[in-house]
Amino acid sequence: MTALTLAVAETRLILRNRTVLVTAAVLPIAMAIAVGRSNLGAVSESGGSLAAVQLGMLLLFGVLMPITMTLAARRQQRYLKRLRSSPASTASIVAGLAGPLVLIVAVQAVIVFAVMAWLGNAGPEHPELLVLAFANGAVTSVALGFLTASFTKSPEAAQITVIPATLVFMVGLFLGLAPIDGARSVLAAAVPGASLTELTRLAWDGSPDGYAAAVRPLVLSTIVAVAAALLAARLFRWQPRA
Amino acid sequence: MRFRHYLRPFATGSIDVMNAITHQAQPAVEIRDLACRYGSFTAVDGVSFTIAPGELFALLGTNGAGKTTTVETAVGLRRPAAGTVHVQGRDPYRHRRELAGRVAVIGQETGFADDLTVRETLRLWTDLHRLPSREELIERVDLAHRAGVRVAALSGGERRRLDLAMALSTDPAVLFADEPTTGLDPASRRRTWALLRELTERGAAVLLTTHYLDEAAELADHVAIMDRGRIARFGTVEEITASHEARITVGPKPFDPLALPVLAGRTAVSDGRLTIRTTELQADLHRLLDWAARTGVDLGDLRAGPATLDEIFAEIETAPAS
Repeated sequence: MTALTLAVAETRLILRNRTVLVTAAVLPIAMAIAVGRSNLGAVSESGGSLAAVQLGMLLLFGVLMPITMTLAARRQQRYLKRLRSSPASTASIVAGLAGPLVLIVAVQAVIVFAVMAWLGNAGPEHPELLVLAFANGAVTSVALGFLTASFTKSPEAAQITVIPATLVFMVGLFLGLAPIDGARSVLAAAVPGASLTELTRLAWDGSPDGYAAAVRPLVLSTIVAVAAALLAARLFRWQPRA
Repeated sequence: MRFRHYLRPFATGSIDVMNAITHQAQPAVEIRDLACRYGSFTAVDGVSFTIAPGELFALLGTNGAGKTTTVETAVGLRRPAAGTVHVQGRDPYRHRRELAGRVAVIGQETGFADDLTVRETLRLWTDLHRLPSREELIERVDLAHRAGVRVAALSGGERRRLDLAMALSTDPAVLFADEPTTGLDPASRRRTWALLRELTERGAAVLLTTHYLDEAAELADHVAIMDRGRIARFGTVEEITASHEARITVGPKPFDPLALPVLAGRTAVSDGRLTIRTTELQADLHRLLDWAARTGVDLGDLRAGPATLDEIFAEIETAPAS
């Protein structure tokens, strides 16, 4: 209930802040259109790879970046400190702050995937795995956003501090585009986004091994999401340094 | 209800403020031997005090004296490095959510989302506490004409008043008010004082930090003056001022201090004004007036009274660290 209250307030704030609104609502869709119209070679030819890149970009531009900016701004205003002195639990504060951004990206993802399915005459093989991939990706992006905001002083500084997490996420994204095996599987397990990409690919294209092929990327992406969340919980500061 | 307070010097030289409660009431706030550190810097060092329900306790001190750190620890935003803090019988750090419904905070930084309006901000706060809307408070803090305005457009004083409305909206049992009247005009200050009094009359305990000594003198049942992380003085305003030398000033008149009668206090002349600092105000004043009457000396602008909080504050501020 308190999460919903906070989410309603947060939605109001997003709609009233042009920078966050453009970053969260316009930029991801613009990127999706750009990716869809670009010739990315093998990526463009594979529905699963394209879906993975689209989802990665949506989460990157629609969740990770704006949540970092939002948290830096709310902390600078001491709004987070105020919320911590309310009866709202930590979980509901996090859900209230991140929920609207995740919801906007969810709507965008549905639109992008629907357009992809329409243009390619083929939808995802396993939509339920796509939902799981989205959920894992959303948790990972929110956690990375909180983590990045831990060392971000202001919303302006977020444009710089978000670069390392963006690079890591993009590296993971492209690592996951090819089948992950051998030595690379160890690396992929440690890079946020890689298992997520593999999972999205499998969700869209399917696999001769059926659901069994999805177990490893699902477990790995969940571990990455949980690890990022735990690290963020440990490092995140609710008020500016004294 | 009345409580008897006494001072007990600590072995370390700090002052431990122990409130000997004469009956079984639980203190609203109980802080014992509190220490808070930022790295190697000790911001609060061995602070102890209790606040009873219905009591307004003023914490005074210069910038950096440790007042805000004490308040933030009492609110549960910081974990003490040592000592214990109990608010309504609970550890505020461990039971932050449980206490949030009974404890209100007015911080030095107001902590609003700038793009919400005054009305939306107050509504959000009562919704978070699952309480009915308290829009009438907007009027009580004189913000009715600004209810639809975004917080970003409010002046510093208006933000303070909104902060007060939010604190009152939850009908708290304990209010921590960290410099709530800073930046307010005199009329708003008086309105804030009235609301704080109203709160204590309803039985709420208030911890007020302030730079305004007149505010402490006007509102506080008990006062503690913090200096460099420790409580340097504690008591009622009367007790604190009574523990310092009273002052008699005379002049400006050219007269020979050597001709004065024998007085218990110390005399000093500066710019033609005679100042007598004494622990026997009434007796010395009587001797002085008697002498003036006998010798026909015109004492001019004669003033006499106990030490003011300003003087005690200045004295503590300039004293070397213990």
